[in-house]
Amino acid sequence: MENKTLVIKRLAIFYVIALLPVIVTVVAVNSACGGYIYESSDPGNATTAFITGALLMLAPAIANIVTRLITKEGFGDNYLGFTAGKGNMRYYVLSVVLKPVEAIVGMLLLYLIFLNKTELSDAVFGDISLAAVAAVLMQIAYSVIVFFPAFGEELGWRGYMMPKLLKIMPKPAAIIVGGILQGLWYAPLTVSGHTFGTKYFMYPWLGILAMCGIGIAMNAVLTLLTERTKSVYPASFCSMIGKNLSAVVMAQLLLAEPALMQLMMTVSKFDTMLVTFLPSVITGTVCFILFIIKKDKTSK
Amino acid sequence: MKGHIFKNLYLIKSNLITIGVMQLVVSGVLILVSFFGQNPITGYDEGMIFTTAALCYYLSYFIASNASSDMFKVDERPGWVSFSATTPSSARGQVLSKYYCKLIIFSGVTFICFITDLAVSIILPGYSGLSLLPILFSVEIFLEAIQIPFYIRFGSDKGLSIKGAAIDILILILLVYFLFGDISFLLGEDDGFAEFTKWLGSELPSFIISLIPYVSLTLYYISYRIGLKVYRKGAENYGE
Repeated sequence: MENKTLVIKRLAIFYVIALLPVIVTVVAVNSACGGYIYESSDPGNATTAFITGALLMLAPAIANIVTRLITKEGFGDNYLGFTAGKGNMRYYVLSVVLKPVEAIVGMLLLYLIFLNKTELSDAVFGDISLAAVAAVLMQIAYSVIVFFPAFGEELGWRGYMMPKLLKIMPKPAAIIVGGILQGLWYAPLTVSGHTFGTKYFMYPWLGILAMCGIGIAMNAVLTLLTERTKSVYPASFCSMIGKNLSAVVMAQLLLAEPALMQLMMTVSKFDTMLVTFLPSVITGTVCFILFIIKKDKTSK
Repeated sequence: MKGHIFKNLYLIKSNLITIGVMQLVVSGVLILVSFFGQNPITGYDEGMIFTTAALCYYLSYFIASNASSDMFKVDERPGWVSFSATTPSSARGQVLSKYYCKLIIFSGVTFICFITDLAVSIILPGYSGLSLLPILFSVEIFLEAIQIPFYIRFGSDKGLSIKGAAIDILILILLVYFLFGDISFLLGEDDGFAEFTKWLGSELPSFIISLIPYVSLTLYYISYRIGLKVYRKGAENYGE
């Protein structure tokens, strides 16, 4: 059994190493671009924003490796095994299916809340064709590219941070603390307009708070997948599809042009993102409960 | 399983180094082309850079595919087949590990291509060839799905010969098509690349292309099941 103080020290080292590159890079990129990078409309800055985001997602994985080296902890319990088998195949399937379903539900919520005055046939199913189906299928396939940033994050958060948190506190508390830590890690990006933009009430505090809430919900789902399979791959698959196929992307692919324009012109980015994250919050809550129920069963 | 995967990768470590070096060369070529291939007045030619990227990335996968095929050869030594059958994961682990190793190697190649593409997009703002990677990855998985059962059933040498013959037939078909088929799309006065991308973006071709990743992955799994079935038969003939 590892010493609690030692685990906390290792966690602190890990978190600092994961967070520092984000702060330094975001500050440097924002200064170089002369403003918030995710708010810039310059195509060159858009490329820089994408590259910055993609590379920073690798920071938690690097922090995992560096912390293990610094603390001489070794590379055991790395969750790198591919454990798909009869017992946990359903979690691998769930990791692939969950996000597309959430994206479709999120898109329907966008319609019900913001476009309810438009006929369903005119808005959502205005442009369903082979090309639209192909676009959705390709969007899912593009997840292969997003795998590396997603894997980078999961190897850090679920492959290192969560097992440590689960050692020093009860499962529900670990999920909440882990989600908040992840949400705060995104803070420099959130301040720069990533995810929610900068034009919303109580900017940037509400955005950071929302990221912590989303972080908790996502953490519940991804930790459940990781702990049940003892592997970071299902969480990486889930995360990569989630990053690539959000409800907003689904709306861009499937909504008819006028409905999409109406959505973009009349609804703020913050409101849109909050609504599309609702299905994730619901699945997060379900997974949170499942995690606790399982704990009770095993403790009995 | 982990042991089998490590064993496979360890035994072809020199090939992996070769793949890494070739990757750096290919990536370097693409970066140099994107850096020096720009016209100071008109900027960069999107068609040219996209085609170069496609060729470079495909070359990366092709090299990785060929160089990693040696992992089948090392298992054809006398005595190894009998020994591996006694390990807890048995023949299933032996075959499955090959499929995992190929996936790991291709994932590595995809990662390097991903980083290369990010570097190119820094040099050429607005460019992105990332959409090529899932397709090329899928195509390579598709080809591996076809050739791995041959490697397992007939041994690496015969398997490689069958692969070579298949490529020859494909080239022959293409040659015949270019000699006698409709190649007006290559000879038109319009920009060939623009015409080609326009055709790719039309409804039916884009739908067929979008199915490639899913068909490839399904075929890869079916290939594993076939590989498992033909393993014992193939193992009897190794070393002959």
